[in-house]
Amino acid sequence: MKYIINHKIFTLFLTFIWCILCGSFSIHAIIIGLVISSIAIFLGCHIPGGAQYLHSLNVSFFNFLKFMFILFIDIYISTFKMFKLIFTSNINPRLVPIKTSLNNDWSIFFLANAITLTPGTVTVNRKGNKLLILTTYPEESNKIVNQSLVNALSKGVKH
Amino acid sequence: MFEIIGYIIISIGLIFMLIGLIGLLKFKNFYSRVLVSSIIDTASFITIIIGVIFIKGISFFSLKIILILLLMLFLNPLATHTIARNANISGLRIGDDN
Repeated sequence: MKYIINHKIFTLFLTFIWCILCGSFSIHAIIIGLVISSIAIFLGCHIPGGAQYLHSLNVSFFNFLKFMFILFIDIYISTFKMFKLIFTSNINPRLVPIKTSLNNDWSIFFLANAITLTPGTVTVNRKGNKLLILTTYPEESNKIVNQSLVNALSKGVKH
Repeated sequence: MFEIIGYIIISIGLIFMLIGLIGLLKFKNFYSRVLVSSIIDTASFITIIIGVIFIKGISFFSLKIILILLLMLFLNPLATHTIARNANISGLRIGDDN
């Protein structure tokens, strides 16, 4: 029971997804969704190694939305940069190691995911808070990752 | 009105996909292809989904489409990362396959 109280927002989110899949927001669908999502979270907390990650996830909703907004703008800006590089045949891939100021697993996961989503940069490997990035932009290594993205993540996802 | 805007946005997404494919066929190097391919599976995919949402309006259909978009935002980087990481670990150096 304590797991479900700890993850009340996550339970509501799963219920919302259940209602979308059912195609209605009736009381019947909401109750079934609540039961199924509670069972899912209960089982998720009891698989070996699952509890420590689920317990530490604490997402602040509005900061996370801000992160998504910055990410979408970043994706389109780098798409147009890549178009320029494609038509001038100027792609020179190189591997660049960078060190992030983030220090918990969830935010590093979201950052690595965001880096791979942006056209022109791919996360290749990770050790602690050091990421190995495959990139093509002819810039200094501190400009590869958008700093406002990291700031939004450090506020949005807490350990 | 919204339908026309939706079709225009989907066409922009298809143009993104076309330019991505041109890049994919133009470069012969593996790492360059990995970098270019993310134009197709993120930028053009997101644009096409936004176009479909414009056509259908606010309904359960568009909510389901947004769910698919969220899933793909997590699954696409996973595939790209796995391919690039395995190439790096197996010892393929940049410029080896020119």
